[in-house]
Amino acid sequence: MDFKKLLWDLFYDTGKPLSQFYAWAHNLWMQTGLPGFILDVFFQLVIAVVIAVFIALNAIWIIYYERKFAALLQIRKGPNRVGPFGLFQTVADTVKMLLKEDINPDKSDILTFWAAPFIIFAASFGVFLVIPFGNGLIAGDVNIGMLYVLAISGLAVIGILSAGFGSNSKYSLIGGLRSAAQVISYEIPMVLTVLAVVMLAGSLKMSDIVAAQTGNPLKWYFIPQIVGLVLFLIAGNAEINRGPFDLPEAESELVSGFITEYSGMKFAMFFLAEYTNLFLTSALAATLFLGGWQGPFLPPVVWFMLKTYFIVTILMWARWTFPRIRVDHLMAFSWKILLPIALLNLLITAFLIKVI
Amino acid sequence: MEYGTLLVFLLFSLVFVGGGIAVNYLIMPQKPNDEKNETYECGIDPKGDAEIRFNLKFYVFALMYVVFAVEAAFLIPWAVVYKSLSGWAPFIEAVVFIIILILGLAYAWKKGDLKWE
Repeated sequence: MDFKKLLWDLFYDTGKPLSQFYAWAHNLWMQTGLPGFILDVFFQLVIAVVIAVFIALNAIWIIYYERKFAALLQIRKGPNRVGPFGLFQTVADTVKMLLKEDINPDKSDILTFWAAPFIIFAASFGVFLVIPFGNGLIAGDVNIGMLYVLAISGLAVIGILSAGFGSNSKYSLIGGLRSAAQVISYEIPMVLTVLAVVMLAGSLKMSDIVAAQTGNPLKWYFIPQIVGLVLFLIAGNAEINRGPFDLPEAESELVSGFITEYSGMKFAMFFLAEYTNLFLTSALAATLFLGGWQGPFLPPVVWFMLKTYFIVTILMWARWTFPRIRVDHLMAFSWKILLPIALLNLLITAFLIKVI
Repeated sequence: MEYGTLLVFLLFSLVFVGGGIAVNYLIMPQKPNDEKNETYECGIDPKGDAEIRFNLKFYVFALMYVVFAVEAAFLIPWAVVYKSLSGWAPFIEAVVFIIILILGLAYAWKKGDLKWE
């Protein structure tokens, strides 16, 4: 076998060698006479483990990046003690949280209090199923891709409410309710914005949406959908409860919202899910509007990461620049401004498709 | 096959969180006391229960959400096949459908349901 060609395929056309390897392993497995689904489950587990490792490493990096970026904007140094340039600061923090006592308040409701971190993390982990990291590098290319993303990430609301009620603390309850109201309010403009892209691509499948943007960067959907991109970033930023929309965890009034009563590893899981959601929103924006993994010269995975981190930087910039908005403005902004614009955007897109 | 992966993913995420918490429980100090297990209220003794009455507005927004989420659910199949349909009929139908919903939004706006306080 040509080693150079294999390497090229692995980087630029990842789907092909992977499916060849799968076919080879499947053949070998079938000779033993055992049922085929055991091998499938094994491969699916391997994919899940790889993605879990990716989430952990990515969260470590993205938290460090956010702290350094905030420091840059505020003209200070940021973490610089643990390891070179403070690179191991997040690792040290994780170890610290692992060693902390896990406190279960006497008044908390055991079932809902414990269920919340599981639901919230499962909601963000499930979305990774349809994120196209590269050419053919996608865990499960479901044909309802985008609808599945909206459905699974909507589950997070249940986790938030569960944390709010289960803690049996006033801060948690108010934070949880506010957060749920905010997430459902901003979900509507987000769905309508995504629909405009789906209309252009003519498919919900992620690989089809990326394939529809093949060619030069002029084909990327941020050109016909520049309004959609802005709407998606605003609504997505509000969905993941990050500043300037971080009212549910406004420190000055609600301590830290629905995670007030959590400590130790349960708190770490909320934190991990929050930064994973930041990455996911950026990855979806890159896939829907910036052509996904496509780009010249560099391997698809590198392009995907560059585009995603470009969006991550924009969201961080917004977070550390704008002041937190007031709660009545927050709801009015979604229903009175974003929703009409999203509906208009949808109709104009439909009109232009027919005209052109 | 893809939906099998979804099932494995969801089960694995539960194991991941459960494993993290289990490791935490193995190595953490366990010294609970009454003060520590109290509900947090800025350090002073908590007053009353958290089962308080809360703003009715939350229900109104939840209802609005249901209306528009169902609207989006109806629009998704239309959006997927829109490109392959010929003629202006699908466009006009969607315009009529969305105008009816905008009327509903305008009604809620006029009634003041979109105001927070």
